Amino acid sequence: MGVEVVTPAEVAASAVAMLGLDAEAVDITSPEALAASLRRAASFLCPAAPRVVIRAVNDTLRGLPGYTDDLRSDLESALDALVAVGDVLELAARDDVRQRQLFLGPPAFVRRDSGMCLLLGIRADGAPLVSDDLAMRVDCEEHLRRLRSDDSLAERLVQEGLVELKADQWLKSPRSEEASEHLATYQERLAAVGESGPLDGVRLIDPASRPTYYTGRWREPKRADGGLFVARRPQGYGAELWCVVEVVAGDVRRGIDLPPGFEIAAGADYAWRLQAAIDSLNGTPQRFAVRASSRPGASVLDLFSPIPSWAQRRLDVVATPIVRSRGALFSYGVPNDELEEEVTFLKEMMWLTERSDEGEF
Amino acid sequence: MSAAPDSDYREALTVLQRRLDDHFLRLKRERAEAAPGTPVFALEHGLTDAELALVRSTVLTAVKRGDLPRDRGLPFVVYAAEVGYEYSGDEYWQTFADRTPGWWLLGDPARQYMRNQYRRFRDNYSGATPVGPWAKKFSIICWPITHAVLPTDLQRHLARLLYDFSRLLTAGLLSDPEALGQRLAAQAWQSSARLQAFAQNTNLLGQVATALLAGEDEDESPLLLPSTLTRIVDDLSKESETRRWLLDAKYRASKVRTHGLQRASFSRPELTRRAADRPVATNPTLSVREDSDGWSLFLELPDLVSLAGRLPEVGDEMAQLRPNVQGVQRRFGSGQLLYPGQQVRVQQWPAVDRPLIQLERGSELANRMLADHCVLSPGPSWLFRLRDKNAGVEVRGKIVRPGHRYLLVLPSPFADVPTWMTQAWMATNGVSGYLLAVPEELDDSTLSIIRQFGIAAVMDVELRPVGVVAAAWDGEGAAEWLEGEEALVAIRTSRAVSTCLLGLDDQPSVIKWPTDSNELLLRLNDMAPGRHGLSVSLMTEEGTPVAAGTLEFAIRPPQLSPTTGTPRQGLLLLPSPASPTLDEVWDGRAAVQILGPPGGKARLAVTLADRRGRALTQPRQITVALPIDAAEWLHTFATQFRGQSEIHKAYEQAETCVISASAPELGTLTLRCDRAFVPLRWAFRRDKDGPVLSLVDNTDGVQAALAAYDFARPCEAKNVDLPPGEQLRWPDGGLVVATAGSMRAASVMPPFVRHLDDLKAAEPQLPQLTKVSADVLHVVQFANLWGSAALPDDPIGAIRRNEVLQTFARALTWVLAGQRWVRAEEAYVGRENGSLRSLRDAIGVEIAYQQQLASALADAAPVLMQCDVSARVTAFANELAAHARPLGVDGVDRPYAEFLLRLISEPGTLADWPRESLEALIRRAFDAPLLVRAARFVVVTTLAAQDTGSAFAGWIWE
Repeated sequence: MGVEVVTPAEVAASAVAMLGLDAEAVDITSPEALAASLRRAASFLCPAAPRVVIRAVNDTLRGLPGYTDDLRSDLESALDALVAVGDVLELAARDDVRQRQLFLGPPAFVRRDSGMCLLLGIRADGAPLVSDDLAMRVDCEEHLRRLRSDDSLAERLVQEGLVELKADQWLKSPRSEEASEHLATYQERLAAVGESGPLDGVRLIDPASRPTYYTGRWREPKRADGGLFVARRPQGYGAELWCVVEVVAGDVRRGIDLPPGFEIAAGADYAWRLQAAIDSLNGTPQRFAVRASSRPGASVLDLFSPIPSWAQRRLDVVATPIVRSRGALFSYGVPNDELEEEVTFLKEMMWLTERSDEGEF
Repeated sequence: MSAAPDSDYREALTVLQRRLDDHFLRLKRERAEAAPGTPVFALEHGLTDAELALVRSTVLTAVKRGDLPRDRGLPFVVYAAEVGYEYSGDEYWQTFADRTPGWWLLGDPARQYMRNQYRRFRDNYSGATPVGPWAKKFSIICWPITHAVLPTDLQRHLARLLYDFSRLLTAGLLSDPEALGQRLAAQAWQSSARLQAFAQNTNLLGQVATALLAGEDEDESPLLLPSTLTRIVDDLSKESETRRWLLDAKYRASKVRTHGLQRASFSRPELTRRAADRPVATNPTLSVREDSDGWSLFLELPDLVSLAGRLPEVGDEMAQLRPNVQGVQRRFGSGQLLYPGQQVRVQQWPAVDRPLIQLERGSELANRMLADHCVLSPGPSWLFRLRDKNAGVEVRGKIVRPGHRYLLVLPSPFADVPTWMTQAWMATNGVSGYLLAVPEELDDSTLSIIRQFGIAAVMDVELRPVGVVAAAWDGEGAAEWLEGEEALVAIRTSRAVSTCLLGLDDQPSVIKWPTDSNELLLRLNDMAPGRHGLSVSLMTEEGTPVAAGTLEFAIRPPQLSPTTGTPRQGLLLLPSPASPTLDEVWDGRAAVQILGPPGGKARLAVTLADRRGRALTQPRQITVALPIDAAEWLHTFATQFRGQSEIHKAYEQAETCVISASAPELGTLTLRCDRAFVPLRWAFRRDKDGPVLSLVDNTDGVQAALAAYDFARPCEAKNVDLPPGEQLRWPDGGLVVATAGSMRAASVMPPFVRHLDDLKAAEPQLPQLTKVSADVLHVVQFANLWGSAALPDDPIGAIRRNEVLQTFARALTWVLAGQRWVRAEEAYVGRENGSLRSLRDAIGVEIAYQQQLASALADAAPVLMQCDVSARVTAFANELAAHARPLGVDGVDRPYAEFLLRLISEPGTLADWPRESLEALIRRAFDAPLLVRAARFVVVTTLAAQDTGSAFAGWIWE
């Protein structure tokens, strides 16, 4: 037992090693380390609101190399990615269905055609997902953990308590439809509910704002606002609730929480697709960009708005998350032979269009 | 050596005795030298296959001739241990007799001979002694089974336990088999019933586990003979999954061993011991949340597995009994104290002078341990840091910082509220709450007010975990890290500081503050498990102290996740009791709650398997809507699984039932329920000649006494003569009871139905009862005998048993509630000329309070019909509190309400209540027949529409 004075760099290196990552390869504020830190925090804190998990990580990184005030938004994006992939689940709280909280996703894996296995889920109380010898083979990239498959890997993973998810089950997406049809569904649902009382603390996505700067789109309702908006509202101790609201002269008249009914999927999945439909119908569709990659046979796909989990999972399976391009919310390295299919999927399901104007962001 | 001809067996016995005597004496000497205090096992005989074959043939010949020589017992000891190594389940003597023709004929003296030989082995060769409650129950077979070291049917379960536990291994545990055994035993409660029994001998468990975890490249383990260890490992490795679990556990152990040795050179043993002497606290975590009702206290059940490990008898009670948490309305299921992490809302602030958590009908020891280990932080004030608008966690150190927000909870209102305090509306009763917005600048008057509450203000210094998220952190001054992790701490100050005076567990050190930073980072090396304290005093260059702070922290072992999940996951199985047997699940004495997102769906599957783990049925799967509470479980299991013919047919052969719940998004959880592992039980089967019962007797050889009771005369015993090994047939059926010493096994024998006439049954008749406690107690005992008897899966047997149980309840109703009530009830049940109104009036209409009670119960009936039994008890207690004061009910007396409802629905469930208090409650019932009528009213008006397997549909008591 003893006390040793250490430098911030030494703390960062120790922390990276404790997270099971290579301190030579990644630093403590890298996307891989942030994802690992969030998983560790969730393993001790769930069920909890996302802000509680993010704050716990942010507090421990304060003062370490690479820490800036912007780290919180990186943590928010990283946690969204963990929810999308299924490492954590956003579910109704057990003692109050109005609250939504994060729970640990079950230990699981998905086999890819390439022979890689995607590892998913978190064990409670800081327990490693897989045994030590497998853990040494895990390849972490951004929010993903991958393991190269061999003949016995699936059997090993099952023996260690991971459940194999079939790729088509894991990648299940909603049906394709026109943006107007999608919006009309929500308009009808909204019309069917009665007027709500005043809702405090509502923040909404400004449809007139640039869709290429997601963080900057959020604001409080204004007197001039009218119509249907994607919004969030605070809810007790749980996560901020995603909702669709009807606003008249700046006042929220009625709203429905997302997900509708008792769906297990995260509310964000519904909200982000609806916002994409609104943006498309407003003539300012959300964008993607494709550019050449330094890796032969691949291109870089940049996305500027968040996408639902079922869309992110497709990219997680066929592509590789990479350091995001300037202005992008996230970027993937996509093999050229997969690119067209993925782009078509994003266009059909999310009504995205390819960015043609360099000056747009 | 070759096989012994009949005539030479005595000579062979002599040779084998000498050979084994030499071997075991040498082993005893070597073991005493290499691992003092570690016993020798008969399985460590070191014989070759040929020698072992000779042992077998020689023993078989001797037994055939009825020759059990006292001075040549070692071959018998080895033979019996070999049978123990290979047998499975609980039929040791059956297996032994099957392999040893003539054994049954030798009768009880042969069993005694075997025990005596093992005792001689213990005395002569430092042989192992069976210990634990299991060994007391199975007082003879415990010897050969203990000396089998690790019977084959336990190997898979132990490998899994070692694999799961390997994360908790430390260098200290690997060098201390006794401690390892205790820790493993504490985690074994969710494993198979046989492994749980094995784990009661913690020394043996630790010895075997340490030997199995020895590294490949290390010297031979001194704890087991190498050939015996190799044999066990080879057998254990026959299955790839089991081999993998053991390899992974060994790999982890090897890493820990290497790392542990490195760390040991830096450790200071005296400090390590001191910290370890202070076990990690098992107090519940407190938090507050605000909703539309105001601020509520929430309490998270602590991890008490370590307590259960240190005191197995307390652990057994925690696994079986229902916990009560002071101030919490929610009724927990029995055994749920072993499922930590559940958060519960507290309605009434707990009184600090009363135990926070107690077990219903728990022993004095168990409840005293809980009272000592689970305490609320001392009052009179409680402080919660609010980092969110509507939620906060307790600051146990009771410190505030300038600029932070808190909820302060006080036992009574505070008169002179300053501007930075505002009253908070408390939803939890019994306290007053205040929101504190602590000013940035603390003047003397502010500090004075803060101190009045027993709170200290800390300024200019902050201590916090840094680098990675700690296992727990209250945001102010209390943290936890896991064993084996580095504790990294940041000390931050806004003052100009030159020196930092540190005290780690009162060991001082002085550190120069870095010149270019307002933060000092520390790594706390090699902290032993237990509680620790770090104090900090910051000094200027002139030596003036300018700030001080503390960090209280614990180093604790990680919690293992049971296969039933944890509250941190989206899906969770919560069985009651904690580790139910197959019989309990089948009979509806155990329930399994399935918690998950409301509205979500899960696949629920039940599979029955034999003792070799082979599935007897295809898994039956149904889709259920989440969540499933205990009452829904009982109904679902009865209708969807127990009632299904395939499952129903396989039940009697089944040794294990695996219940699993799964959803693609939420994961898969499993609960394994084994047959009860008891020394005396009835085994049921059916053939063309009707039902058959045979007695499985693993007691210490005392001939079991048998009695039988007709369905028509359920209190009149008849003698039964059943020679050992014979089977019992009884076409009329009834109840059969075997008693051997303190053991008792009862089973319902279903009637053999050949014709429709066989379905006719006479109404059960009881002796005339009088209004005395002794008669009521008599009925309670008989009702318990019938109600707790094993019920073979037979619908006619179930119907007949229910008729008997209903007769007991009706008889008590007649004697306690009066004839007029019985007539009204018969009219209501028969719907001839009875109605709910006339039944209500039969409770009592003479005085206003009687009418009010009767009306309230009649109004509540439709609602109570939808509730589980626990909620009905609570509602009944509330109505009695509201309307039955003239009859001596003072406030909400839940135990009394529960007693009344049990008494007239399933009186047998009162049999294990303390006799003295039961007699007092019966006297109260005699004095207030109106309350008995009221209770009976609740029972008959809330019968479930569908049969749930209980005497009164829907009234299933845990």
